[in-house]
Amino acid sequence: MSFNNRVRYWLPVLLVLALGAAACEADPDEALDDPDAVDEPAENGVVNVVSAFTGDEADAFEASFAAFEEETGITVDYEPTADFEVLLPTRVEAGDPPDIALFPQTGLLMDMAEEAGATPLEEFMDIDALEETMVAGFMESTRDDDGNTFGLPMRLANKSLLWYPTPQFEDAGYEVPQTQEELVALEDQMRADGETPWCLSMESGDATGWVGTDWVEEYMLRLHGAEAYDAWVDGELPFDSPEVRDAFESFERIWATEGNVFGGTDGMLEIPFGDVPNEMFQDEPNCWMHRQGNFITGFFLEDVQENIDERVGVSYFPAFEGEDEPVLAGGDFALLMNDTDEARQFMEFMARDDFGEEWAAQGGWLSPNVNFDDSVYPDQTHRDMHEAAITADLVRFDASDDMPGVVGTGSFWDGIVDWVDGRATLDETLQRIDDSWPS
Amino acid sequence: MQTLLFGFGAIVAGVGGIVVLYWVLNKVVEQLPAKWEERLKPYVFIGPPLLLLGVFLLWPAVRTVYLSFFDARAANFVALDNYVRMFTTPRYVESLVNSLIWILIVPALSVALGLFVAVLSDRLKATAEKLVKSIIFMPMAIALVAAGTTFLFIYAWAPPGADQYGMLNAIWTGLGGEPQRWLSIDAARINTILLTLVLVWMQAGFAMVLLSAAIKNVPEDTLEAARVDGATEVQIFFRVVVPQIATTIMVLLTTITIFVLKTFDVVWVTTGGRFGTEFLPVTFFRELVVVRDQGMAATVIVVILVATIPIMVYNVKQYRKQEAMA
Repeated sequence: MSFNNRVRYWLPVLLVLALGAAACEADPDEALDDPDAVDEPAENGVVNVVSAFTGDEADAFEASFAAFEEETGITVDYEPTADFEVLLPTRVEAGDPPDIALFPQTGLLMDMAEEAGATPLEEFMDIDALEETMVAGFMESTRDDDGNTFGLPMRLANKSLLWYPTPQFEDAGYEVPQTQEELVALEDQMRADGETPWCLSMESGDATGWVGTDWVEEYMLRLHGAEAYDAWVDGELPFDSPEVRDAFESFERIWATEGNVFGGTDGMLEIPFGDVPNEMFQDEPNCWMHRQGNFITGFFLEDVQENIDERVGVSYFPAFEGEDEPVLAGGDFALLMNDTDEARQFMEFMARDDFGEEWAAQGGWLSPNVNFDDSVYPDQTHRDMHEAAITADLVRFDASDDMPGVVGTGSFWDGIVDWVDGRATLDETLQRIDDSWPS
Repeated sequence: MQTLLFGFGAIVAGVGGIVVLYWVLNKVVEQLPAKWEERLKPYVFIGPPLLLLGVFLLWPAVRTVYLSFFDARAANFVALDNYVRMFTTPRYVESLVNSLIWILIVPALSVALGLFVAVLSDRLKATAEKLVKSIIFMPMAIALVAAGTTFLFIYAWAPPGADQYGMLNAIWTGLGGEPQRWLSIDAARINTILLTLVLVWMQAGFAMVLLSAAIKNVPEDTLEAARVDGATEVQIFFRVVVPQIATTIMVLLTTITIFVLKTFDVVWVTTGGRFGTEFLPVTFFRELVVVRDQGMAATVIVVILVATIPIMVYNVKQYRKQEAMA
C-alpha cells in the first residue's frame, strides 16, 4: 500500500471521526447535564423569559425592563409567543424550560410548577412583605397544598367593571347603579323606555364562552363569598350545588329576560365580544351597559379611545345591598423555573412597587401593586380601575383560569355556550360540567 | 437579516452535510473487499432515509399507539379506558359521526363536481377550457384557514333588521326568512354539511385536473366505435368513459378521504367544534392542547390511523395498477 493509497484509505475514516467530534462539541445541552450548573450564577448574565405578550404589549414589556438591564448589566432574553399554552408545556416536557415564564392562567402555572420543579417564592422573597404590597388575595390561587406560593403577580386585570356611555346616560336621565338591586331597577326602566340594557356577547373564536363564565363567577362571588368560591374552584363544591346554581340563575336573568340583551342569544353567540361594547357609543345607543375587564378599552372605536374620559363611564360592577364588594381579577404571574441568580434578580425587579410604569403610561396595563404610583396612568379611567381593584373587600382570580384546563377552558366554556344556545337545559349543563371534572 | 443569513447557512450546511456524509460513507464502503462492497452499498444509500423515517415517522406512530393506553399525563396505564370513553361519551360519538359525514361527502362530491366540470369543459374551445379550469382550480391554492374564513362571510349572521352581510342570510331574508345562524343548526347535521362544502369547493378543482387528464387519455376510437354502434352520449359516458377512468376516480376518492381526516383548519377557524360540529381532527387538537389529555389525543389519532390504513393500502395498490397500465 503506497502512501497515497494509505491516505485515501484513512482520510474518510478521519473525516467521520472529526464530524462526530464536532457534533459532540457543539451539543448546547451539555452544560445542562451537570445538575450543579443550574444553581450556579451563569457567567453570561442572561435571563430567558417567555410569555404571551406580543406586538405592542411586547414592546411595552421590554420598555419596562430596560432599567433592569441597565442597573444590573444582565441581559433579558425575551421570547414572545402567541402560542404560549402549546410552547411552554412542550419545552417543559423536553427538559428545556425558560428561566422565567409569565402565565395568564394560574391553572397552567401550577401544572407547570409541579412538572418543572419550579422554585417557590418563599425561598428567595419575603412573602409576608409581598402579600402586603400585592392586591389582597391575588396570589392565593398560586399556592399549593403545602403552602408554597409560586406565582408573582406582574399584571392585573380588573374584570368587575361596568361600562356606560357617559353623555347619553346623562341625557336619558339614567343613574349609575350602586347595588345589584339598583341595577335590576335600571334594567326595568330601560326596557320600559323601549331600550335594550345590555351589550353582551360571548363570541371569541376558539375561546367562545369565557365572557359567560366571567359573569357566573361575578355572581358566585357576590352571592356566596370567598369561601364558597374557593371551594368551587378546588372542586369541593360541585357545579350542581345550590350555590353555583344560584350564580348561573342570576346570569340567566340577565340574558334570558326578553329584550334585555342586544341581539338576543343569537347575538351573544355571533357578535364578536370586542365589537359589542361599541353599540353603546352611537348617538342613539343600541344598548346601554357593558360588563367587562379593563382590557376592553383596546376594542373601543378609535375616536372613543381618544376621548375616553368624556365619552366612557366606568364604575364598579355593583354588589348586593349591604354585602361585601368583591373584585374578579385576571392577570399575569411570573414563575421562576430555573433558579439562577439572574432570574432571581429579575423576579425581585418585577416585585418592586414601581415596576411597569413605562407600560402603565401606554395604557391597557394595571399594576397589581397597592403602592403603585397611579399618576403614571394615561387617564382617569385607568386610575379608577386601579383604585377599584386595590380597595376591594376581596379579590379572587378568574375561576375558570384556575380550574383544571379540561373544565376551566373546556366544559365550563362549552357548557355556557350550549346552555345559552338552548342546546342544553341548566340541569344538563351543570351535570355535564361536573362529569368532566377530572377524578 | 441575521435570521436570513442563519437560514441560508442552515440550508448550505444541511445539504452540504448530507453530500459529505454520502461521499464519506461511499468512500468507506469502497475500501472494503469487492464482495462486501457489493453487499453493503445499497444499505449505505438507503440507510439514512430509512433511519430518518424510522425516527420521525415510525417511532412516533408506535409511541402514539402506546400512549393511547395511558392517562392524561401519560403516567398511568389505563388499558382500554380511553377507547371505551371514545365510543361511549356523547361528545366523542358526535365527533365520530361528523367525521363519517365528512368522509362521505367531501370525496364523493368533489369527484362528482370535478368530473362534471372536466367532461363539460372538454367540449369547450381550448382557450375557454383553460379559463374555466383555471377558475375552478384556483381555490386549491388558497390556505385552508383563509378558505374557512371566507366561508364565514357567506354564513355570517347579523341581528334581524340589520344589514345581512352574510350572503346566505342576505338571500334567505330576501326570500322573507328570519336571519339564521347557519353554523349552529345541527338538525340533520346542516352545520357540518355546510362546512364540508368549504373543502368540496377546494378539492373539486384538484379532482377536475386529474380527471380531465384521464378523460383526454381515453382513446378516441373507443368512443367512435360506441357511436357507430348507436350508443347515446350518456351511455358512452357511463359505459365507455367512466370504466376507463375508474382507477383515477378511485385514487382521487382515497386521496381526498385521507386529506379530509387531516384537515383540522376549516372547522377550527369557523366554529371551533362548537354547536356539534366537532370532528376527529378537531377533537385531537382539543384534547392535546386545550384539555391536555395526552392519552385521549393519542387515542383519537389511533382511530384516525386505523380508519386510514385500509384506504392507504388500497390507494397504493390502485396507484400501482395505474402505473402498470400507463
